[in-house]
Amino acid sequence: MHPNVKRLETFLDAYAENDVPGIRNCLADDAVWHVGGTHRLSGDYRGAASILEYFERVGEETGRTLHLERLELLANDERGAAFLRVTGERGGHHLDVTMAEAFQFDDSGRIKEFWAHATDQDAIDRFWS
Amino acid sequence: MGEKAERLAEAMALVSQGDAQGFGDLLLADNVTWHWPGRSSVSGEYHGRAEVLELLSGFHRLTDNRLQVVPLDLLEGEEHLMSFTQVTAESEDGKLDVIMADAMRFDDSGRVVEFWTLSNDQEAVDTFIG
Repeated sequence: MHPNVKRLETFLDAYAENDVPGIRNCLADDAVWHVGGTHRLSGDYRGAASILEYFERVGEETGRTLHLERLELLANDERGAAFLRVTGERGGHHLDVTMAEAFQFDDSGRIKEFWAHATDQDAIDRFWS
Repeated sequence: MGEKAERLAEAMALVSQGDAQGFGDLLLADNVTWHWPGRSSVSGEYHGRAEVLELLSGFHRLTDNRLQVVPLDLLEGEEHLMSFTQVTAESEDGKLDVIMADAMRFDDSGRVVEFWTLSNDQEAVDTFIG
């Protein structure tokens, strides 16, 4: 297993446990998180602090119900891919989509850039509406 | 290079020779779905090989050979593959310079059943395509 696959696992474990220091440790200081779609949270989050705030907001609004099931994780020295089934609940809305997520790592294996797209982006936009 | 990457490379070679049908026959499952994000004229979901080939033909017309595509990385797993490329182009609206991550899920016969076209600057891509 490539060390950056292990790092993706570490990040997803920390996210699942809402382990904020653990998540922070996986992010480069100047990381950029591109959140696609046309919903309230769509946009670019720049810097680890801004990304952590975004995660906190997602956690609060979903009552920590967001679950990321790993379908396959791939990585080499510079880049990674995560294929995830994402489920969650928010205000009576149920989400169940598959995500393809792209990562770039810095030299120390921290995530420096993230972007993604879903099998059903409209479902995600509705979920956050 | 694994079987999926080899098939992708063969299919891309056919495209470069202008054989879009050959690309579809070799790489795409009959029930393929192509997810194109953003708000451009080609954004949306395309179901089945015929719709996907129409999408690619339309995209080719829109971009009119203005794209320079440099392969960066290819990650291949059991069921999935992600191909990273740097895509640049000059246009009236400025310079396009993005990293694309083409994500694919393969079926048991080695053909793509799901395709996501991911960009790290979707707004720039939307502006370029129009």
